[in-house]
Amino acid sequence: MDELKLALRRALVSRFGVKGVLDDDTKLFSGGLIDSLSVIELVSFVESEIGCAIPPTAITLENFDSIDRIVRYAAALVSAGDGA
Amino acid sequence: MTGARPGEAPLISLVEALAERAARHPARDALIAGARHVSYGEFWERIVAVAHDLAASGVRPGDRVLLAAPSVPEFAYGYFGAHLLGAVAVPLDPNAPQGRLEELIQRAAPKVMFAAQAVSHSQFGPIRAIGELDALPARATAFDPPRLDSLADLLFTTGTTGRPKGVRLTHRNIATSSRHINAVIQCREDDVEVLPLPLYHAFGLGRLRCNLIAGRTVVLVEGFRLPGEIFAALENHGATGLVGVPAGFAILLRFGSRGLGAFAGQLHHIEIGSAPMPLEHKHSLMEMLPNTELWMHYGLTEAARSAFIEFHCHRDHLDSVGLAAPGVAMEIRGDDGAARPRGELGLLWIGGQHISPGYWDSPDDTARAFADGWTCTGDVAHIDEAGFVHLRGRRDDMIKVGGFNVSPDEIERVLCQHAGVREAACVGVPDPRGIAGQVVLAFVVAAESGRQATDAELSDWVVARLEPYKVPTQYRWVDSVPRTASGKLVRRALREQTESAT
Repeated sequence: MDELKLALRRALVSRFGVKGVLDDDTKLFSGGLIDSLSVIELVSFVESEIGCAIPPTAITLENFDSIDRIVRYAAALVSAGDGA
Repeated sequence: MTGARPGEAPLISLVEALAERAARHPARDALIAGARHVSYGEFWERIVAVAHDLAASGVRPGDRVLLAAPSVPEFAYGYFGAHLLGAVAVPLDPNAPQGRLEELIQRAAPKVMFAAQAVSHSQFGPIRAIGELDALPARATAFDPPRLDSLADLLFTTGTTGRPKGVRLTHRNIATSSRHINAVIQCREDDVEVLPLPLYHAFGLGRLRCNLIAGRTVVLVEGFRLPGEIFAALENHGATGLVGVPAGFAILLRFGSRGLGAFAGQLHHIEIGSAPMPLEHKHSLMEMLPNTELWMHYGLTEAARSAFIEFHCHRDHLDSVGLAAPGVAMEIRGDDGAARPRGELGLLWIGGQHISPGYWDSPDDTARAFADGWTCTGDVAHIDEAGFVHLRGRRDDMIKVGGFNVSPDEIERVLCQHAGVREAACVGVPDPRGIAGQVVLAFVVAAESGRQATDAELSDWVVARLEPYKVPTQYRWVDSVPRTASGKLVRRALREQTESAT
């Protein structure tokens, strides 16, 4: 998940144009740093990093509004997949 | 097109209808917000408590009650509580820029103000937290219903034409429009609708009213921010209805059959509006939801949602904005105010009991836009033989090239079909040669991927598809074009830019 965190941070700055302070708990969508139309691309990015499909119902602020939240959600998804 | 229900009952105000609902099915859910369920019985109690509280605060019939709050149940308590007292509800966008909020508060001159957070010493007086409205003591009812022709709402427009106008709406207006719309989008009483729209704007507020007078359940979702929230709401509540703006549906559509498609069996209806929707998206929705009624409306704050099209039923008329709802009259008139024959282009006027009596504090605008229960939409349109309304464009946005009235919409649509263009907005600028009056200037946003097209390539593209006088003579490549919160293009802002530059 450290790799994911690194890749995410890089992508957020270079691909998604996030400017300014970007902490692990900085609010991405509710903070207005990324517009909601970009969420599709962000989800695809995470899916390709973790090799798992993300169910549409999981794309909520709870799971995607900060680096911490994305990593936490991705970890849970991957381990749920491993357990199945 | 569905007709009005036979043997219609006499019109009553929405609050009276709510009281009847609370008596008839008190245990049924009226509102759901997250884990909170508010039954009709409880909803009515809250409304009465609010009315008592407002009266105790000195609010009298006709006074304004400001509601600058998100889409939460307390907003609805405040809204209908104001109505029950005969006061005027003034919904406002809590996230509007400070300057705009201050201007609108000044113009509305409210007696009481509610916002997400309390502010004890604002320049306008104390602002109460909307959350307070959930905790008022229960009271017995002792209010006379509001008179139908007294003011219910003061809604400031978010339109594309400059200074926001304050639209006055009476109890008759809002009860009538709710009735019209319920006659078009006919739902069952046990329908559950997901409403991820702001309640301070006419579409979301209108949908709330339509559902509540019909005794249906509304699932409030604060903001159309992330799609998961919508899908989760549809799933958790077995929702049968969903409403939204085209930009919101554009996001949901990207998930294909995994997204909206998964709800094809449960969705009875969708209502879309507030901005135009690309034809491909209409087709995608039709494919994904073959058994769902796909309604799109045309309207304005002054005239509520007046015309409707159902994509499946009216698949041969997808380029129109639909047919007038039952009880709504639509007419094309010339600049002189005289009616034009069917098929001829002119200004679209709408009439009916749902039409606002006029603006709050702009008598000149009122005189220009309203006459005898009719309002001028400011849209240039024609109505075809079958009654379908076809918009040409905003009168103010038309570009006068030589003797021709050119609609920017048409040119923008063609430009957007080019792979190198993501968005386009066209305005008229004075012809530098002094010959044609105006010529077309196109603001263009480049598509994300691929090489940027040249101006010449775009002109070649347009000339192959439209008349020569419609080809832009100038292009400006920009990062974005100005839009309202609901996605409508604001060409006026671009015109002002070009005017100030000269």
